[in-house]
This record gives sequence, structure tokens and C-alpha cells, in this order.
Amino acid sequence: MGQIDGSRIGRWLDGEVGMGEALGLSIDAEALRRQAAALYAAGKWSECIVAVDAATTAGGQGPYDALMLCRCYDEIGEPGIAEAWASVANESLAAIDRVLGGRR
Amino acid sequence: MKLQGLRGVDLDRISRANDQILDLANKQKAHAQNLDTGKVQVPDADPFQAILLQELDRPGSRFAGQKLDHLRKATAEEVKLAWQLAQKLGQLDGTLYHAMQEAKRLDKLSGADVTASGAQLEYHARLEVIRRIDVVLEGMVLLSAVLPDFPKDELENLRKAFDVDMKALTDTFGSSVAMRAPISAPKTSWGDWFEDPNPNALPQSKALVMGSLDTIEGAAAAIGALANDPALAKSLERIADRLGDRAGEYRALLAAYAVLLDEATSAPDYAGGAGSGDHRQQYRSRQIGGYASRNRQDASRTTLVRPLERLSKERDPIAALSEALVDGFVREVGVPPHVARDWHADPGAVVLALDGETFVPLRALNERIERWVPIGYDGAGQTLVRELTQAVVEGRYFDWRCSHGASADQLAFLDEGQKQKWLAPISIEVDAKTKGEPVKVRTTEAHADLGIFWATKVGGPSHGFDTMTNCALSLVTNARNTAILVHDPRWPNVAGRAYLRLLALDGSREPVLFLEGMHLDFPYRGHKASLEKACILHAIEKAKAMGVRLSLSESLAPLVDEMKLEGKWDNQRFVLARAALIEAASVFGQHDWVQLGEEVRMMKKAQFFVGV
Repeated sequence: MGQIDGSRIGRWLDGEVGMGEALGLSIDAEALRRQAAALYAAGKWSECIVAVDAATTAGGQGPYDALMLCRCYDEIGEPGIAEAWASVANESLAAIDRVLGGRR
Repeated sequence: MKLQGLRGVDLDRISRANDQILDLANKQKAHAQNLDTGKVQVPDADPFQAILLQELDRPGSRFAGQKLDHLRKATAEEVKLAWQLAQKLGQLDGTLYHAMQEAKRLDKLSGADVTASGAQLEYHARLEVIRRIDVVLEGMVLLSAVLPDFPKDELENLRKAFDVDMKALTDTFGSSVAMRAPISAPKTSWGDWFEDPNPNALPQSKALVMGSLDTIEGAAAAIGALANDPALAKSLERIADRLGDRAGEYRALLAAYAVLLDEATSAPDYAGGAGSGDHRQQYRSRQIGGYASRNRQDASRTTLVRPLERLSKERDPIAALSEALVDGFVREVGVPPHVARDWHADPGAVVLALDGETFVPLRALNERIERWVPIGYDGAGQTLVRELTQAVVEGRYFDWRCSHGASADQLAFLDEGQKQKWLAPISIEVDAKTKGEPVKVRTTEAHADLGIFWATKVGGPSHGFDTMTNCALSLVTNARNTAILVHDPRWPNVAGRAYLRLLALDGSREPVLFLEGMHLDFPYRGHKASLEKACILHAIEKAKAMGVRLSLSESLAPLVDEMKLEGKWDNQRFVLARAALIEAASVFGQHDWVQLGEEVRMMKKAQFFVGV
């Protein structure tokens, strides 16, 4: 990792870029997220949590992250955490659905 | 004096619209037409859609039974855009809510006496509301499809009413109330501390310089050393024996090829995620790129040496070397060969590009731009950078930069004579404060030569071509922007850089120049105020030559005082013609943004309009 770039950190704080970009790391958040989906499909729940966390850290939150994390935590026996993610997922998915419905 | 307030503005109407935005984010409407008509099909391969559907239908799922009809049918791309839009609505709602609260508070206070001590506060309270309104109006452009009845006119009335009060404040108490900095604060100069610059403190350059390769033997030896192949050097030398009076042409091409080989075997591998440096000397001393770039550098060496090994067998070695130079340069800066197939690259232009040290900036632009262009504009940055690269290797970069559609719009505020003056770089010399022998610093303009690509690496650092690559496009693709570069004869690189922008005033569309604050080259320790003064004097000369007004950034206020400049402070609204793709001018509040249409923006801080 090179020197910390203040302007990129500023953009990260503003939610414009992910932490990976802010720190100048060459992490492809979308690739990580695709990997997470594959792990999810394979039922590798713990690994999927790690991949989603990494993708979120690198590239910011994605629309389905909370949905995936909810199922993963349920599957590994952490219903409390799953419940928290379910609440986030419900909010996110409903917001997207509303906007999609409003587009003409 | 007494302020007029918001007479005739229907604040309730705006508040109702504010509620509408909130409602919109909480209400379902008719389904998107393209989904209803089946024009868009859900791609089977989208794994996230599969996860969503599975969770909505799986017995026992926490999401089982939820309708989410629109989301079920949406494509991945639509979900991505809706995700962004949902976040944007929330932001706009908050911005407008705060603007309205403040406007109502100020309106209640109108009619009260304003004293000199409170004038700046009153001015800026109103300016803040106007800024928030501008943010909402800008957002409404994006969201007009979902909120067609938004009372834009009422927001503009509110802005005009506050404009009247703000003008009354500056007329009564003087234009300095428009400044954001406290008027009573001491106007200290940046020149309090400095030392004479010491180039010996910089890392030594290891870069091959075209000018030093003035013989065929020298160029061949440089290639032999870079290729770790002394026999190759001898073979390249011998080719000259059969070229007769074309040997000079061969020497120039060979020298350029040596520089290409040197660049490619030492440059950062941006495609592989190499980081960036702080200043140009780090690149010249080959400190940037690191171990992570080594594989690419080795591969480049192998690929670039191959055509040289065949050169002695070529019937026309000059034609073969020209082709290898052009192909090698284009490929190594990150343009795939099939993209450049129909380009008419000129070997002479590539020689100039290498001499102008454009290799690293062009590679950074080509290999990093897609990571930096905002989501939703995929491909647009790459297309623009490839157009730019093509223009460089075809030897028409400066023509392209000022003649493509967006640049033509940007220059349309000027008459023909003014346009020519804007595009013709000038230069001045100014005495600089030193601790030793007297020194004159010299100014130039970034678009005077290919040095423009390095201008963004003078201080900053956010606009650097390999920092926030999208921001570098602001300068290298838009004719309205240039930078005044200050050269100190004691310093090997540009010592100071200040953006000079061609804008127009809202309403009259009068063209005006705007000079931003100056950045120093990071390791330069010379007298900053002297360099800033040079930038201001340069800008004044330029504005005089063009017959337009000049405005200065508030960050130059200490110099405005020190130089006893005549003029007045103001907070104007500026017209920005569309950009080639990106504008990056944080003076307007936003660090950088995609700007595909004409915009009217205010600046974060006041501007000093010089009475030229």
C-alpha cells in the first residue's frame, strides 16, 4: 500500500468510493460480490459472509448484501445477527422496489 | 439597513413539494413501462436475482411472501440505478428541508436592523440557503422523470428574493461581506516561511532523455543495456551502414525506441493496481511501480525487443522500426491493438509524445479511467481517453482538445479574436523573493505543450492522472481549463500550478476568467507568495489580452491585499458549458462530477473581480 491519499479518504467518507479505492488497494469489489453469490449458492455460509464483508469494505454496500448476510447468519446459527440484517434488507429492498415502481 | 425578506415567495408551496419528495420515496407507483411491456427481460444469469427470488419464495425465509413486484422483474442494471436513486431522494429531501427551515427563520427576521458587524453573517446565511437550493435544483434535473410537477420556479423566486437582500448588504457594507473568511481575521501572507529550493534533495533522475541519445551508437547502446543484450546493440549499429542519408531518421527513431523501452520497463503497472507518486521526480527516478510492476515490465521488455532482433533482416528497417515504435507505444500505454487498428498514428508524433514524457500519464489514463468514472457511465471514460490517445499519436492532440463538441461549446462564450487569445499561451517573468541571489520565476500555460499531462502532478494531489484519474480529464480534455505553471530556474520540475478557467456569468453570459488558488510541487520549499503573485499577474495579462474580466479565488485574498488590487468581492453564479465528460473543480463545492449538459453553479467561496 502506498501513501494515504486524503482526497480519496474524503470521498470514502462521503460514501462515493469504497475503502479499497480510498486506500489505493487493487480489489475488485464486484468480483468479490460475484464470489459471494457463488459461495451462497454452494451453501458455504461462513465463507460467503467473509466475501460480502470484503466486497462491502472494498466497494461500498450493494443492494443484496443484507439479504445474503441475513440467510448466512441464520444458517450458521446466529439468529440475532440475522434478524438485524433482515431489518436492513427489508428497508433496502423496499426502497429499491419503490423507486423501480416510480420510474416511467 | 433593513432587509426585504421573501416577499411574494410561497414557502408553503415549496414545503409541500418537499413532502412530495418524501412521499415519493415511500409510495409505490405504476410499474416501469419497459418492464410492463416486457421490453426488458430478466437475465437468467444474474446470480443476485436468483438469490432474491429464492429468498422470497423459500418456505421459512425471513422474506417469504413479500411482494416486491418491481424488484422481482428488474434487471441487475435497473436495480443498481434504483439503489442509487433511492439514496439520492433521501439526500434531496434533507437538503431541501434544511433550506426551508433556514429560509423561514430568515424571513421572520427580515425588517430587523442589520449592523455592520452582523452583515457578513446575514449575507452568508442567505447564501447558504441559495447553495442548498442549487443542490436541490441540480438533483431535480436528474429526478424530473419521477417528480414532474416540482415547483422549480418557486425555488428560483426564493433565490432571487435573497439575491436582492444580498446585493443590498454588499452595497451598504462593502463587497468584503461576500467573503467567507472572517473579515476581521489578519491577512497573513503565505510568505512567512520559506527556504531556497534545493534540487539536490530530490531523488536523482534515472530516465533516458531523448536529447542525450544524439548518436546511433548511443541509442543502440542504451537499447542493448535495457535489453541486457550487447550483441543487439552491435546489430542495431550495423544497420545504419546501409541507410545512407536516411541515417539521421534512423537515429531519431532508435532514440525514441530506447526511451520507449526505458519507460515500459520501469513504468507502474496500473492495470495491475500500481500506486501513485507525489511528484514527478519520483517517476523520473523510477521509484513508482514497485515489485508489483516487475512482471509487466519484464513482459514489456521481451515484447519490445523482439522486433529489434528482426530489424537487421528487414528490407526497409526504417519502416519496420517506425511500425514497431508506433505499435509498441500504443500497446504499452494500454490500448489494445484491435482498438487502434484504424488509427493513423504518425511515428513523428510518437517520437514527440515520448520526448514529452507522456508515456506514464497516458498509461494511467487508459488503464485507470474505468475505475474512476462513476457507475452508470461505464465505457464513457475509456472511449474519451482512447480518443485522446489517438489524437496524441496522430499528432493532433491540441487541435482535438479545443475542437471536439464539448470544447467548442465551452469556447462559444468568446468571439473569434478572444478565442485565439485564450488558446495562445503567454508567459511572463516575475521577481521571486529569495534568501540568496535574485531569481525571476517564469510562467507558462499548461496547454502550451505536452507537459499538460504532468500539470496535474504538481501538488494537489487529487487531480493527478494516477490518483483520481477522472479528475485529470478536467484539464486534458476541456478547452475551458488550463493551468498557469510557474517555473523556478533552481527547480527541475514545475514549481507551482494554478487552474485558470474560462467561465461565463449567469444571465449575461459574459465570459470571465477565474483563477484558482495555487498548488506547490510537494517537495518545493520556495517562496509561495512570489509564485502566487506571478500567477495573478499572468492571469491579469491574459484577461487584458482577451478583453474579459478576471475573478480570483478567495484563497488568494492575502495577495489581493498585498498587491493592492482594485476590484470587488462577489458570489456570482457561473455558467459551465458541458464538459467532455468530467469536470473537477472543487471551488464549485463538488470535487468532481460527470457534466454532460450546461450547468449554472455557485462557488463555495467568494470571488474577487479584478478591475482590469
